[in-house]
Order: sequence, then structure tokens, then C-alpha cells
Amino acid sequence: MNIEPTAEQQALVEAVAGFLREQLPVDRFVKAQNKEHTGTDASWSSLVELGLLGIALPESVGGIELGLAEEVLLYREAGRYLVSPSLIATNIAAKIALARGDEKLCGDLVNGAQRAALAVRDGEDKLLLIDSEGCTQILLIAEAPVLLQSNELATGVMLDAFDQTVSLIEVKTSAELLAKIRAAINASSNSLILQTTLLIATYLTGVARAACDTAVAYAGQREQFGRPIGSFQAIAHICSEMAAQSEAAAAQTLFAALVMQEEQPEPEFHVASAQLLAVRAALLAARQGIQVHGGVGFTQEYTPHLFLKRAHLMERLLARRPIRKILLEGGTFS
Amino acid sequence: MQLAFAPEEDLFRAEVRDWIHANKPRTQPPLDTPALREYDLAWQRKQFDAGYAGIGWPKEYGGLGLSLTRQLIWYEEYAKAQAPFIGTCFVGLAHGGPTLIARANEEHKSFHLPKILRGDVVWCQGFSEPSAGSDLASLRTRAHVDGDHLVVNGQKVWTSYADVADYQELLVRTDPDAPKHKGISWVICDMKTPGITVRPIQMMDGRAEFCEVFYDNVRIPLKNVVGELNDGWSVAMSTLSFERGTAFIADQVELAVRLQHLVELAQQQRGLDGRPLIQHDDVAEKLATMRAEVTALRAMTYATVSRNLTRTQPTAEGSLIRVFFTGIQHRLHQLAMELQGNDSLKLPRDKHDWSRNYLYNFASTIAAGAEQIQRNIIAERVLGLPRSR
Repeated sequence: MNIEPTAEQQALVEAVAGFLREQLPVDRFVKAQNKEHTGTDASWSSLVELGLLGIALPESVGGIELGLAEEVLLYREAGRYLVSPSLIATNIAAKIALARGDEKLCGDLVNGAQRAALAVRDGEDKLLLIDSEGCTQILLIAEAPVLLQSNELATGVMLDAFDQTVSLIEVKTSAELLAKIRAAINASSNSLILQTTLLIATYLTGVARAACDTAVAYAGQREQFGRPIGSFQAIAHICSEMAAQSEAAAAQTLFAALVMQEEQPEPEFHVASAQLLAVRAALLAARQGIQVHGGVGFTQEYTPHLFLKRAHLMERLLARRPIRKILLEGGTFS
Repeated sequence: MQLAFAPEEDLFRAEVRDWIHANKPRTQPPLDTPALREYDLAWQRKQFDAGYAGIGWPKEYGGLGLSLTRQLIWYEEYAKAQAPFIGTCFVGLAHGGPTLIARANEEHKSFHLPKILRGDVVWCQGFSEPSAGSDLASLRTRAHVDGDHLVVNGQKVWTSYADVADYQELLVRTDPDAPKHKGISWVICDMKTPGITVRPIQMMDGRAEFCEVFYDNVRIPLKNVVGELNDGWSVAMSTLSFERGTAFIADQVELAVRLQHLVELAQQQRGLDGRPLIQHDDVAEKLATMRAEVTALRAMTYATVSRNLTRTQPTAEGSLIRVFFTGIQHRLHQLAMELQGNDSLKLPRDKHDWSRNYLYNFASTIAAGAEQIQRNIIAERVLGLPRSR
């Protein structure tokens, strides 16, 4: 038993984090004149180059044959830099394609020729697509992830999004489409449901971490009453709580990945734990991060609001599952 | 990076699990301190005779020198078996003893360490004072040199089990003119020395674990100083380097076990509507959240132990885990009080002791580094925020 990332894994994480920090810093949204969405081709090709779409996939489809643990470590970094949620959609879409024997589609998703976007149901007859421009595939997060083609969907209507860094498109579903979705859910593998949930959870721990880091940096610099506000215990203790929850959530997402990778008992329980803690940590860090920033925290001119909005977005994109039941029935240690 | 244990570790786990189940005491620890001393020493002696004493102590001092992994396994199985808390043997085995190992001379070690391991003696800790709690370095108990003795005058408080202790790790101020951290000495105090008075403090859970200790011209041989005179602060700090995260595993597993008992309580107790309380949304929500948190504690502890396999310095991240842990512990016992219904009017002695543990639990966010101090440590040493002073 040794769950510390190896030197190679740490180097990989640092390389990706360094790249994202340079190419996709969070303040890109603050600086953008036209609030450009993140799913643009320019930043996508960077993600492809980094190999972020084929981390756990075979070399035959362009992957680098690592595992879920590496995906969890790297997608946390993606969360820190508010990379488009399409990253997760494309990751899972590629796995679904591979599972059904469609190596062409899988390869395209890995090499950037095609891209998937996340979607959720909205009421009985609509879907909401997130950052879907230019995406040929749609990964619908229902009780299980379902892969649809963009061209099977009716034309949509663009809505104003709560998280205005992503596009939000509403499409109506047909009875036929709903039946297809239902069949796909029934046929879906438990592993894919858990992987999708875990990747969103780890992304959320990245958002939590970034919100916390941003608040800490601000508190270290902003002075009032003759000293940095971070030297006041009220502020320091808010930051400590953010850090404690963020660490706990991050540790649990990695643990859950190892449980799945090594086929240890209770993967559902571990993923459910990760999910609950990641959501809580991200929302706490995002909200408290705004508080620590004082007035500038609720403007669009600083970054805290971005973490808040993205945390809420990703929380909504998690499949609605009976987490409470899973948690109460599991983890009994016997 | 691998979660699974090696096959030989699984064999070790089975071996210790069987031994602990077969040999752990059949009764709960007594509430009365003198009886508790006998109970704890007998259990320690039994572990010693079977070759399980000092699992983390170096072999050269009679310990097992077990790897961190095996220590983790031992603590997990110990807690799963609900074997008794270490109690009066804590300071000797987990604090004083390790300090001696780190800093004492061979004479100290050869005299004291075997007795601790065998379960012959109880140690206590003379650190905190009425005026020196969180600000321990401001301690005032004075010791001046008189020939080849130190003469000690002053007072300690919160000394666990001082009324049944044989020895005490005692911090005294030997140089009042030096800066506060530099005028302190760490001394082995024989609790039978004339001039020492012990007064147990009644704790709100009905026990009297903590004591005041008064020193009236107590003469302690200079050779009982561990490390150098006036270097006691560094000796006290060296104790921290012994802890690699494994002992915390027991607390964390115990919390998981208690949580399971709480879930069972919620399944048994009924609300006004006749439904089991676990079916009430708010109860289910709290329990489910605690399950996730307790699981994350395990993830964090495994991560800490893994890091410590290759590193020798403990990190301030221990404070993160500690704060997280004590928060859950408090909420768990608060919920227990609610779910117990009218049983929370009583203070019985039973398998779960919910009411008693709820009361005792208030000490956990205060003792051994108050929660507010832990949060300061996280802010300053983990996050790098500017100091508050």
C-alpha cells in the first residue's frame, strides 16, 4: 500500500498544470472582450496535444494507456483552470465509442477531429447542452451517460447561462429520441456511470482548490487596518476550513479511483463519498472565496464569481443518483 | 501508486486480527482511575508477553520496529475489534517514551523504556499550566539548580492520570531571563518525590482523568534532565517527529465503527410518526454526510502514511486531518444525543456510552492543540498566510 503519486505521475501533473497556467489562466475570462466560450478550437487543440483525451485509452486509438488514477489527478488540474466541461464529455464519449467497437469515432475524439459536449435533461421533453458549438457528439448525463449525435437533435435555442463562460442551448426531444435514450441507459455499464461521476467530482475538487488558492493569495496581499487581511484569524480560519474540505474531497476522489482501478470492494460507495464531498468543498470554497475578497468578490472584474458559477454548473451535471442510500448502506468496515 | 496491500501484509493482518480478538479484555475500561490503571497495565503486559508491545518503537529499545504499513494494519484491526483505548498507557507509549528514544541518554532509556513496554509503569505529562495552555511556552513552573538537583516550585494542570502515574515528563522554566522558548528544561519527574500534590479534576462526564499537580520545593536530580538544560523546548518538539500518521488510524477507524453504531441506533429509534429515525430526511442526510467524511479521513490518512514512507519530516497537514476529524466527531455525538431520545437524560455505563462520550468529546477540540490553534497552523504553515501576531 502506497498511494502517493509516483515521481512520474507528479511530473505529469506538474507539466499539465504548468501548461494550463500559461495557456488557460482563469483570468482569461475576465480579460476576454466578448466573453468567449471555452470550447473554442484554439484551446481544444492544446488539450488534445497534452493527451488529455486519451489518458486511459489504448495506443491503437491514440491514447497513452495510463489509468483512472491519472485521469483523476489530471482532471483536477483541468478543474483548477476551468477547462471546458466538454473535456469530460469527450473522455467518456471516447470510452463509450471504444466499448461499442467504434475505433474510428474513438480515435477522432482522442485526436480532436470530433468533440463531445455535456448535456442534461430539462423536464420531460428538453435537453440542455453545455458548450456544444462545434461538437458532433453529445454526452447526455441521465441515470447513465448516453452518447448521442448532434445531428440527431433538433435545432436548439441559445439561452442566457448562469455560468456565462459556457454556451447553453436548449433543444426539444422527440418521443423517438427519448426511447433511444431509455434503451441506452438500460444498456449502460456501471463502470461508466461511476467514471463520469468521478471525473466531475475530481474536476470540482480542482475548482475548490483554485477558489481556495485565489482567496488565500488575495488575503495575503489585501491590507486593511495596517496589515494583510489574512493575518486576521476570522479570515484565516475561513481559509483553513476551505483547505480542509478541499483536501478531504481530493483525497477521496483519488482513493475512489484506486478502488475502481484495483477492483477493490464498494466502488459505488467510494464514488458517492467523493461526489458528496467534492460538491460541498467546491461550493464552500467558491462562496467563501467571494466573502474573503470583500466587494471585488461579487464583481465580474475578479475571478471568484467564475468558481461559484462553475461549481454550480458541474454540480448540476452530476447524474441524479441515490447517494444517500448508497452511503448509508456502505462503508461499514466489516 | 497502489491501494492494495502486499500478500505478506494481508497475512500479518489476519494474524493480528486473530490475536486481538482472542486476547482483548472482555470488560470495558473502568471509570475509576486506580482501577483503570490496573486494567490498562494488565492489557499492556499481555500485549508485551505476546510480542506486540511498542509496535512503532525501534527494535533496539525493545519495540517491534514495525514498518509504517504494519503499524497502520495493527491500528486498523485494533480499532475494528473495539479493543480498549490505550488510556493510562498513552503518555508512556506514545509521548514520553518516544521522546526518551529521540533525546534521552542511554541510562534514561535502559531504565525507563523496558518498564513502559512491559506495562509496569504509568507516565503522565506535566506541560500545561493555568496560565499556559495554548501558549505553552509561557509556562512558569520554576526550577533552580541547587547542587546536583533541580528544585521545582509551581503548578501543572490537565495532567491526565497524574494520580496514578509513576513518572512525569515535566517542562520547567530553568532560565527566566532567556526568551521564553529558550529557558525551558524537560525533566523526568518521579511522582513519588516529596513535595508533589495531585488533585484530580471532576470532568463533566463523571470521570476524573485530568489533574492539577502542585510542586512545593520538589527536588529532582539534575541527571533527570533530558537533553540539555534550557533546551527542553526542542526536546518537547522532537516528540512530534515520531508521529507518522499511523496512530491516527485507530481514531479514524474507531470513528467509522461508532458511526455504524449510530446508523444502527437511527434504524432502531422511532420518531413521532412511528417511522425509524433513519428514514427522516435530516437524519439520513447527516449520517450519509458523515459516512462520506469518515471515508475521506481514511483516504487522507492512507495518503499521509504513504508520504511518510519516504519522508522523515511530518508536515503541518496533520492539522488538516485533525480539524476535519474533530468536526465529524462532534457532530456524530451531537446527533447521537438527538437520536437517543430520553436516554440522553441518563448517564448509564453501556456498550455505546453515547451520553458519556458526548461529554468527554468536548475535550477533543480543546486538548492537545485546541481547534482554533490547529486552524491557525493550517492557515500559517499549510496555506502560508501571514501570522496573526
